[in-house]
Amino acid sequence: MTTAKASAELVSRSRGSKAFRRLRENSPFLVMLFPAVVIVFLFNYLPIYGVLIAFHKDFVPGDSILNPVGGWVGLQNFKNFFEDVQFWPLMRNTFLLCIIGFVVGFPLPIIVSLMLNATRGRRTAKILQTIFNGPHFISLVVLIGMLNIFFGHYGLVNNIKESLGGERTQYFLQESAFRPMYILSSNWQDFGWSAIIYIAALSNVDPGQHEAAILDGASRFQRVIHVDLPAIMPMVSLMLIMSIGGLMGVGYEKAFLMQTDGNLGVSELISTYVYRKGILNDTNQSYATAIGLFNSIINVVLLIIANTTSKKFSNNSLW
Amino acid sequence: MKRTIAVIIALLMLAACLTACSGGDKKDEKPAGNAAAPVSGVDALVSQYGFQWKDTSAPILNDAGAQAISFTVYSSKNASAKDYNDMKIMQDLYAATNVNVTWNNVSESIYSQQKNLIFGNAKDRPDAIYHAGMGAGEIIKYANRNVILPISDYLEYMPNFSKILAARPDIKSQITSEDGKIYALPRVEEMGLLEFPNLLFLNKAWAIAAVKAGAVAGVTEEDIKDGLALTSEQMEAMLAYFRDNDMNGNGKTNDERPLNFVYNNWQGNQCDLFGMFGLNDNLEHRVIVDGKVTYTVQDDRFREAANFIADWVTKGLIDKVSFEQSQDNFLANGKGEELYGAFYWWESKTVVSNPDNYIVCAPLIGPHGDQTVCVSNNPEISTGELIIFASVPNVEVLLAYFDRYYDPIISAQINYGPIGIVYEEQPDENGKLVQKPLPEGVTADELRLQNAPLGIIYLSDDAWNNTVNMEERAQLRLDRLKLYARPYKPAGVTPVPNLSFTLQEMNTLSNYETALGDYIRVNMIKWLTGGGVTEDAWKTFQNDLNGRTHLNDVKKIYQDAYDRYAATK
Amino acid sequence: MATLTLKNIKKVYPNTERTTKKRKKKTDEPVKEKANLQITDEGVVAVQEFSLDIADREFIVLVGPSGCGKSTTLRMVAGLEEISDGELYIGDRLVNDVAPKDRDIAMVFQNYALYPHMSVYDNMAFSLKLQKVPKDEIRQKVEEAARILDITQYLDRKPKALSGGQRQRVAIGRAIVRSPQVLLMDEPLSNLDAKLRNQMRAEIIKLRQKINTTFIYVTHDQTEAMTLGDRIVIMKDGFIQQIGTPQEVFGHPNNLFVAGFIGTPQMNFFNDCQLTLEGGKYAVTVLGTSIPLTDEQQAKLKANNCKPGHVIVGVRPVHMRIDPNGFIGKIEVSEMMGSELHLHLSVGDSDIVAIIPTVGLNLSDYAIGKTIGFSFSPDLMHLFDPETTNNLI
Repeated sequence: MTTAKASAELVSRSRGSKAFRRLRENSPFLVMLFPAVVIVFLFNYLPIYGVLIAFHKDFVPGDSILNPVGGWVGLQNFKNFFEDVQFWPLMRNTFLLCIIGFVVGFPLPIIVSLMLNATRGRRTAKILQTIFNGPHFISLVVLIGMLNIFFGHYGLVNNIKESLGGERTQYFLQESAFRPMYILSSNWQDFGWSAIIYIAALSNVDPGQHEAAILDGASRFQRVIHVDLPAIMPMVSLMLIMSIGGLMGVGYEKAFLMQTDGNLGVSELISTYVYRKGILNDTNQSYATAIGLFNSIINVVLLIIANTTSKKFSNNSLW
Repeated sequence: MKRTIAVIIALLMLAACLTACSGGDKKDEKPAGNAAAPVSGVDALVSQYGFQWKDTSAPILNDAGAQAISFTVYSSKNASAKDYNDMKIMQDLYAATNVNVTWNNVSESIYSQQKNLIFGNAKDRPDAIYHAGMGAGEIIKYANRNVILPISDYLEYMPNFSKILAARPDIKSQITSEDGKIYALPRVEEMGLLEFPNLLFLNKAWAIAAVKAGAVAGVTEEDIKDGLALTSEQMEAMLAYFRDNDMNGNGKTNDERPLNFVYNNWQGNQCDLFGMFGLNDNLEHRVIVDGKVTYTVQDDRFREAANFIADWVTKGLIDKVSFEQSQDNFLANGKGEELYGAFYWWESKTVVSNPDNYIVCAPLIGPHGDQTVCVSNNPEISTGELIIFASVPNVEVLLAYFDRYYDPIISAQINYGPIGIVYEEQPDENGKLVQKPLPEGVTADELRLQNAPLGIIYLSDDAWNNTVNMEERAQLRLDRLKLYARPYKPAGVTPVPNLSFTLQEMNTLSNYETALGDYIRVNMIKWLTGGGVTEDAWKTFQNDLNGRTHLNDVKKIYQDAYDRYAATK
Repeated sequence: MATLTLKNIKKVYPNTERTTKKRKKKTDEPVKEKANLQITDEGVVAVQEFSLDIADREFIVLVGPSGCGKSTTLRMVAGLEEISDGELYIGDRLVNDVAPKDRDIAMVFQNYALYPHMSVYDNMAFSLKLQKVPKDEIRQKVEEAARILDITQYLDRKPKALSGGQRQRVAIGRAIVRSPQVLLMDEPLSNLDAKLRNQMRAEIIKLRQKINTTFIYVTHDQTEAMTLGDRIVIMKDGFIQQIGTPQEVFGHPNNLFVAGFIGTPQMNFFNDCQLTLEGGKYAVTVLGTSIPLTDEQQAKLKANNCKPGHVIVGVRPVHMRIDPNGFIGKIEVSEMMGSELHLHLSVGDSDIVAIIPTVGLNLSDYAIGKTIGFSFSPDLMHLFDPETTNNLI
């Protein structure tokens, strides 16, 4: 309303160029936007120049980033990483964990939100949703503790297994158990939370469409497929692009906490390697930065591919 | 009108944001003390502020100096410790030296996050970092960049520390970087406890029951006492008996855990088991044998031992949870109903509810008659405990101040707590500190953690003999080690001490050592929990050690560094 | 195609907030309107005592103000709302518990409720696809319906790319493509602008000729009701007020509500009138003038055994005529509509409207502020009992 009035005023005065007029009209909003822009610039863009560390010979905190102590070494750190014995195992582990996690984890919240939306009782759906959201608030360390309690040698799962006549399994020491435990626990934590965005989208679906579909003879399931699912499809493709963009961006914390000698072969990821190289032991921060930068580049490339593909096949895209 | 209001709100928000930002900058401003000391050079310090360092019992500065000169020291602290500024020992030290130190305390977890930031913020660093936890590599890198102070250039101001270095060339060579200088002050607490991280404890009642049942050949009931030396065969029979019977009488035969430890823990680990085959193993599998750096994993006996232990695991004699449990889980499970038949640990008191029910065993005797123990590389000298930044003015004063920490009486108080709280004012007839009775409702550990900052100290034989008594638990363990561990260590075997590496060596190590360690760890747990190692797998392993994991390169670096160390000793 | 019988239908929304039904209630019945509705221990009664026999191929219009229960009734017929009590037959079949899709009905929604991601063709074909009708047959039926509705050229478009009127046709097309026995329409024209609405109204009348089916049509617009319906069901507060042909409800409104609701401008009411009985003859005093009643009216009053006393007299504006000897009124507003003139008069306490043809009038005589005389013929007069609001004659 403010703008309408203001613009009317300004048009009547017809002062300044069109661009200037628009600037004036929007000035309160631009001023309000300003702090956000400053913060994003300061904390998200400015620190990017830190990637220069990846081209130092050996950076330590306190060194000038623009004037390296050991001199510039070009892509040497990247070359070292490609030649690292760990390079292919790291790539494979990170990729598999992320891909499997994505394949399992991406459809889950969609299915859950559709199911919740189709639940007859509103109240039941609300209660279920709250229950599903709960695990999201469990901290990582607590989650790992829970995994230990459930899947440890004397844990709940093994107790049940033994009472049913099975052998106890050392899930934490088995390579084959790492990915399932990691992925399922992550999804258990977040499927309800991720479903929120879809549930919100679903709440905008016109109930009339459901009624029309009922009269058209659609079953409950058919209504989900033909009414609900199309309604959240734009959101789905948006989330898909963003997930693919973050596909290789798995954090180190959880894998690091779950790491044991037994599963190290699959649990060592790019991010945990960066952590160990860059922070934990006698560090080589330039090397760690190079690996991290390489990982980010993969992510950006994936994001661009995903976005371009999505743009081509549907009208949904990030930019 | 509305638009005006919107603009005002927006401007206010912006202003709030900016003040918040600038506020953050101001917060870290240094106390003005340093800047207010215009004196330069030791002579000026001496003349103006009465600076003296030779008499280690007199004040370092006069009252004017106490006013004019102050230092900021950044330190992590234990969660239950008081703020160092409020600690009695720190106040006592100020009273005794007139050196004004302001402590900046953070929790240990925050320090690990902030360490890089402190070094990164070149314009605004504290004067020193206490509990610095600096690795040898970090020290070299910062030393090369002139960020940290070469303390060895100022030894004349540190009479106590100089004395220690003169008396203990081994310490000197361990803390000296390869350029010949000392950049960090060490913590030395020599009780002789760390070299042997394990003791084998056996459940007395269970063992007697096993013997009575005739399950264990060659052992009588009278043998079941401290110092019992079992052969691997006897131990196997004993553990099998624990496994199959309801030893704790709770009606369940499957909740007994015959042999327990915490795999790859710094103490209470699996390494002693390799002693049955004559290997002095440790977590790095690296030990000095007759002056040579030796990797136990290259020894064929290691394979035999791994297969033997794996067999015990398969048979359920070693509790499988040993390979995945944390120290906390291990300790928790020992309490309450007795579950442990035997276990490796530092001591028995913290593990089980009734330590009297457990006897200490001598190391197990292997199938070929070998009987030896783990020799750990946990050094009793931790380097890198305190560093001082190079640009600090009047650093001589600060060093003279920290030198007092190496005085035996001060060291004892730094380590255990101050006189007046933990110790009586009056020493006993031998001149040793006497512990005060504990206040109501506080354990000795709690009192110590609250009041003792720990950190740079020198407590060695001299101190144990003349200044302070070891804690009871430490003394007990020392006695046990003397009987049940030390005698079984071959004479030529020693731990690998703290070594100084050149920058190039350091780079090679950082390139190879992580992958090497991972490779060994991944294989070893596979063998131990997977029924053993085949001939082929062992061959592949040996080839990989020498080949792609560069064990020989790593070994050579250690050998070179050790040779240098041995030469200076 | 089928007769429809509603026997004493009742709809109660239980009081508990928990129910999902309330959410589904149409928006033309906002909560605040509930105040009119009867609230019992069971809950809010939206519809009660609804009995109606609908003949095959009849066009029934349910009309009434917001919250009168007309949409609820329609939705009960559709099966979108549960029937709390009573019986609903389609043909001879009791369908109370039959699923909507098995009732052989179709419905056109107020907001069209088209599937936005489907093309017009798919929207129309959806129900047939679900019934597994062969593809050729679907195509044939959809194209047939599209031809009837004149939307053939839009079949490939998405609903978003259509105008409101076109969407409305698609919505109707989706309903008729199945050749339902009963076609339900829930305020189908209310989202259109006035011009389109008139146009679509005509379309619906034409449509009716083309397809053989029973229509139930819900609207709040009495013009639509009058023009479309074979019979009109007028509802208020959950009760049927009157069922009848447009002519019946216009000529003989059952009560004050129907009289006021049907016809624009609204019927004029004279509140303070006295019914008198002298010598066996009834007369009514309007604004101090006694008007004798016709014989027919006399008979009806007698049959009803009416007592003299206070009555409300209603006269439709079109039945007013200029009469210098009649009642005197002051012109408050004069609206020139072309062929006729709407005069808003104040007479005593009442404000009344008179519609008079403009042919041969001198308009300057009817300027604002002037006074004119008017009267009406007694046989076009309605008498209402102020207590029961029922029509007395």
